[in-house]
Amino acid sequence: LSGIELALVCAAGSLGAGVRFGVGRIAGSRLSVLGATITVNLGGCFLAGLVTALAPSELLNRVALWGFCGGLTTYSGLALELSLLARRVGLLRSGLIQALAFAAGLIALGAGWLLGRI
Amino acid sequence: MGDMHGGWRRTPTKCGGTPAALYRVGLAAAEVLLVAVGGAVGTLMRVVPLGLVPGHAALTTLSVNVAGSLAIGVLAKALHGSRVSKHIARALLAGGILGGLTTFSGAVLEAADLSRADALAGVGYAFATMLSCLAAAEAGAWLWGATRGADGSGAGRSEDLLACREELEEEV
Repeated sequence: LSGIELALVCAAGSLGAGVRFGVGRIAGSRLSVLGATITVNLGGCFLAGLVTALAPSELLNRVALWGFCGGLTTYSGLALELSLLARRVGLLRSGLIQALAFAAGLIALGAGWLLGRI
Repeated sequence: MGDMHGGWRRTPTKCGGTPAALYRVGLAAAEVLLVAVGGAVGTLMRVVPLGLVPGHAALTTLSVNVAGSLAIGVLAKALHGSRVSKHIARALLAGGILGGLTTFSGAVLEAADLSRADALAGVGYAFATMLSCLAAAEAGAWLWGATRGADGSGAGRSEDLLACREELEEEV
């Protein structure tokens, strides 16, 4: 990765993080923080699937996948929310929600990929 | 004269409302800026290892996710009762740097990629990610409490992580 490519990827990551924060602020009051985090994560997976199927160019791929989708989605936020949820409903249920979110992420990825193939 | 009085009485509520709204807008703008800056830094911290060790994207992604989850556990505890502004710390560190560093789409993408060669490897990767990230967040919170306890200050040990988060949420 050259310097300019790295800068582009980081700029896209910055944009993704900003979008995540904005969505969290807007949706966070209606959904829970966990709900907003999962929603954003699934949106990022859908977009990642779409980009993978379209496969524009090596650079655009990295800017979109490593940059935007990487910045948009978060695992640290999810892990924190799940660990907080575990204190209310227990570790088993919290872990189950994580497994469902991950499975939904795979489905969203597949859906995005299929849409890109059409 | 009576009208003037009414006018004067109305004015303070108008004046009182505007700076508060301005403050909220300014704070939101500052937070978005901090998240954007942090997001760029976090992305850089994730992308540089990805570029340096090509062919090991799955392992690199898992590593940054675990590291970020550990850090957010420490952060959630460390912010509790600290004098640092919760708004700034949450936007720059949690939302920006750690949010940019860790990736859910990357983890899902790597799991899907691994399962194309071997379905079991993909499932294993997914469970490794889920278990280690949740465990790392818990360990981070515990670690902060344990080290503070060992310091003799005792701060943070008895406090529950949930109380720390509720304190964060109160400020929103």
